[in-house]
Amino acid sequence: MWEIRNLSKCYGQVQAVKQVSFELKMGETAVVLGESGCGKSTLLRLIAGLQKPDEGSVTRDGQPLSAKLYKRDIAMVFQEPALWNHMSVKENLLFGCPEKNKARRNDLVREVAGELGIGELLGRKPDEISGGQARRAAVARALLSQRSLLLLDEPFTNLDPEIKSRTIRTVQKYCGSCAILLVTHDSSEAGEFGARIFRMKAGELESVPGD
Amino acid sequence: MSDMRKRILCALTVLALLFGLMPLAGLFGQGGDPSLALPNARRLGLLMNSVKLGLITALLCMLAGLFTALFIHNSRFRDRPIRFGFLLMAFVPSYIYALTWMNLLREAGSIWPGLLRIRAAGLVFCSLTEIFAWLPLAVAVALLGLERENRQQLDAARLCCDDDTVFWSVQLPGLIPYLMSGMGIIFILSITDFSIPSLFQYNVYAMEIFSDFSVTGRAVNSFWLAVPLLAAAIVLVFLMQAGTGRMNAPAPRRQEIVMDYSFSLKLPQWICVFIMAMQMIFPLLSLLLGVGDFAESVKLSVEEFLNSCEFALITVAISLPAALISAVYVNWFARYRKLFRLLLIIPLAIPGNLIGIGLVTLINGSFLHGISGTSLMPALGCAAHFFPLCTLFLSGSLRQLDLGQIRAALLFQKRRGEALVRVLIPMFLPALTGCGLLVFVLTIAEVGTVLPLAPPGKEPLSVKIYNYLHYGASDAVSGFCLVMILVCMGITAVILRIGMGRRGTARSFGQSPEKKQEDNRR
Repeated sequence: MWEIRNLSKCYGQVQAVKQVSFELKMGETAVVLGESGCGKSTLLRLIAGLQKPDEGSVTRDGQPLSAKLYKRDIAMVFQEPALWNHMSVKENLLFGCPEKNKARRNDLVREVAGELGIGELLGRKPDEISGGQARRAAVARALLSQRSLLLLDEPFTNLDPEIKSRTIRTVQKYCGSCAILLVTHDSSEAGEFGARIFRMKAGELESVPGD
Repeated sequence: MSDMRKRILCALTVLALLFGLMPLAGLFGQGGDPSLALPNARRLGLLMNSVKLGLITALLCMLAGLFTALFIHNSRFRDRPIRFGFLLMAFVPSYIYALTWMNLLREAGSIWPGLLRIRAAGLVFCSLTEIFAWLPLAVAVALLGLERENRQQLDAARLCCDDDTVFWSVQLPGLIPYLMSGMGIIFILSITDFSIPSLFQYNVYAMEIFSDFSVTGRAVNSFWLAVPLLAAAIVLVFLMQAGTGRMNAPAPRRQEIVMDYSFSLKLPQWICVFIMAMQMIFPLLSLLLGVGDFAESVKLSVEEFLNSCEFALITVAISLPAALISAVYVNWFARYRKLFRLLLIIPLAIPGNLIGIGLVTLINGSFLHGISGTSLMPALGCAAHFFPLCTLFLSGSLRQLDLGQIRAALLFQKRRGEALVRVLIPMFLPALTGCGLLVFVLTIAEVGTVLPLAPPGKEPLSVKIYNYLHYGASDAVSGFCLVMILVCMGITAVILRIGMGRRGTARSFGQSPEKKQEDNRR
């Protein structure tokens, strides 16, 4: 279980994240809804360790997480696809994949890419594919890294409804046993995930009534 | 913009282009012996020396620049203006570093007499001096690359593997276009320069061109002799062009968490920072030790300094409008942008002395011979020499402008020209001022171009120092060099101040609107 305790972050006078606490069980999905600029992305970056919180902690089964980012067992899909342009799409997808066996790795990447509808693009460079395809490639990269916690920072923005549903189904299929935390401003995405819903306002997190 | 205006802008750009290539036309128009373009065994050796010196200098300089930039980028100064402090010595002329080494050996020799037996000559001294001289440029290019890297791409990699692997597999490949461009510029600076090699008695090809002209007085020979050097330099310009083409402008993100490299990556950073510190301290220390009566040196150099300022001001007045027109046309309107960019930066590969010789020949043989022997001659030479650099600088700054803001100004302006006066000019003024100061300081420090063009009785300070240096290090030269260093440092400080000013100026010097917004938010 992942425990987030009293996470806070200030930028000068602006309190971006304020005393945020919640727990996330393995296999559970939580969605944080909120308007732009309310601190959702900062919250994800604090959990991932990409930014240092002013106070608070993130633990897993009561144990503090490593200061080394790659040892925290967390994958993240950013608002931008953040693919590396000097690598092919396939190389991007395999970058964090822990599978050692080459044949198995290739099978995995083809399988996940196929599910997301980008199987034909594996040989291309990221700047040769569309924005929507790059977003799906970023999701595939996170899935293939097989981490215990998947953080999704508005990854489905600008995807058409059919592709969005397909991507959500793929995420649920490959991350069934891990914890997922999605931040978005689109409440329909929360519905599709069938997840626990939080609402974030001015850095503060509150559970949605009835959830 | 109407088609007619675009055509006028295109015509002006072509004129500016011809202006950059004008010195070559002066040489080429004379016929001559094309067989000189094929180097004989002796000249082939000289060419090899040039290429060897250029490659060693460019490679080592860029390597040191990369590690120094990595250190700065991960230090606690990474978000503060002081991180650009290394640029204070950026425009100190390279021949002053030559004097530094000579002084240092002399001073150290008084303590350890064995050192006096070391002959300060050859490839090693030449290369060391050039590395010291161009290290700030290399650090600046590498730091620019690091500051423009996409933080989200880096964060995505850091969640998967350790920071050393991130450096080798993500950071370094992303920096390669910048490093290649930096190496290209340093290589060209090195192979077209003869001032340092001549001071350290290392025979290079650029010196051969100048000495042949001094002996024969035949400018056309200089052109044919320069062909192999130009070919080597133009190949590098092509590579640079390819490199800069791949430089995208991702949104820079403020770096909150520094990279945690292993000892094997930290050690070269510390070594290179030490070299960088020496690069700043050595010249000042050795000149301060070597200078006799500083006030006397200032008095003796006033006239030459004023001459330098006069040449530099005219150079700025000529090169800045030409570069601005070219940059605007190539960035916003040109149909064959890549071709124009390439043609505009080719003159960068012409050695300074060749520009001087070509211009003398062209002007003396034309109806413009009346300007020969006036201050316009060195200024025209320097303008032709620095015009490509100026265009590159302004093109880069134009690309940083937020086109949305300009379009909005055009849409909302109440009368014609209001958008230009109240929005575009204030947005671009810092870049123009910075570029003007850059050309000013480069002209003050220039030797190769000015040497054949300086009018009689109007010797600039750079030529005076260069001439004195050939008689060996002396108190007077140290004094003159100190004056030059202080001038260059002062102007560099002003450039940096403008670049870091608050009113949107940072954007003109490389920050994106996204970073500005993020800063505002915080």
